[in-house]
Amino acid sequence: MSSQEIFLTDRLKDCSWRLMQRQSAPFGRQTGQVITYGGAFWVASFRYENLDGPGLRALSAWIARRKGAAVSFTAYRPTRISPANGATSNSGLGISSVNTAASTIAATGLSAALAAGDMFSYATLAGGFYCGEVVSVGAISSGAQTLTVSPAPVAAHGTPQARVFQALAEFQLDGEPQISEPHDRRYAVSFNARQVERA
Amino acid sequence: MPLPLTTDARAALEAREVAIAWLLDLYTDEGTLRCWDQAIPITYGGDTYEALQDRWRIEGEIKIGADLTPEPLTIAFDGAPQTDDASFIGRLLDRTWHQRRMRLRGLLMNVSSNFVTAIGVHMTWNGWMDTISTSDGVGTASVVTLNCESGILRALDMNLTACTDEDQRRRLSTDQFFRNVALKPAQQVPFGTKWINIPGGGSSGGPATTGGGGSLPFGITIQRE
Repeated sequence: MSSQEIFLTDRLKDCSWRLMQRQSAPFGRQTGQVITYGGAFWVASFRYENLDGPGLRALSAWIARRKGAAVSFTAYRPTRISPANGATSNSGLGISSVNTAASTIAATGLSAALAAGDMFSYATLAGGFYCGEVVSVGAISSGAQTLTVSPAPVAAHGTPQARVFQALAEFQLDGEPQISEPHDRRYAVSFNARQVERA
Repeated sequence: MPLPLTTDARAALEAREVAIAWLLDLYTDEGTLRCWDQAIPITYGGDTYEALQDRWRIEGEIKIGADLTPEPLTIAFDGAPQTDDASFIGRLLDRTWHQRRMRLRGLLMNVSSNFVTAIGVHMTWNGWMDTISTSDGVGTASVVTLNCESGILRALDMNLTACTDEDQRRRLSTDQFFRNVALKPAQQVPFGTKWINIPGGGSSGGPATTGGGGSLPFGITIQRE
């Protein structure tokens, strides 16, 4: 089931994203050779603290709507809400092409150049979300810029809904959420999630 | 003999990174189901492989032996969509698969191409689909397990038939070598028995034997119990 409901940010104290590489560990230090078995994907941990009564109710209901791992949700990376250029809108943003082999996205409609470390997302052909981190950029020209991203991009939807402000990734819960309901009413919730990939 | 290295393979090795994907072919009665373990489909050798990514995996070891013992291979599929006829596992379950061929191939990929450009196959495992079992339970992944078996005779596509006396006589009418070959497991081989006492043996054409003990043409004497 796909809900893609946005995550809650009230009292969110920690939202750490990590790119999971699917590869073997190096056997020794001298060669450092590894075998790659597939593309990387995002995992994230969420921790809410000092929730008041209404806050806990909202978050508890949000978790209940997830039905475990059955119903997905979307989240942006709180430390990279906006790109380094400070853009706070995705208006006019588009994609002219995606090159999986080269890990590049040709973005259009940019108001200012993106930089390494910015997040970029768009809708995939299968109705999911691609979300990647910009690792290097080309020169911007008339709002068009070639971005090298990680992980490798996949084919975009006809209406890609590209985002640089609050770039979204789709997740599902991984494991059981931890909910603490102490007597002093300083409630806490934490859970882990992993990316849902629909290429 | 080692595979000759292509330029792409050499570049991948020099970059201290190689990429491996797995191609699976299941030869069912309604055509071949093909999938691989990456996110986007690939066409390799003229065949298109569906992108199943993490929805299947190889369980345990891949064994390739040179003896005559069939080696097992277990492949696990995501069992959640097994009742969806359109899904890969749903289509497999709807078809006739038992004792039909399957093939697993390891594909070396150009590491800098993000699993788009293939270099070549580095291993092939041929076998037969043997049994399928499912595992469903609270708190565990729903898994459909496909057990396959190989075997050097089967891998070579040989017919497992025994050569009978009649077969050999068609080739050389005077050759009696296969006259005493058992055609069934645990069948008694009539060494040392008079041919005239064997049903269908006839009274002529066999080796000279005596009543008490048998004498084979090669000068070996066998004492009959």
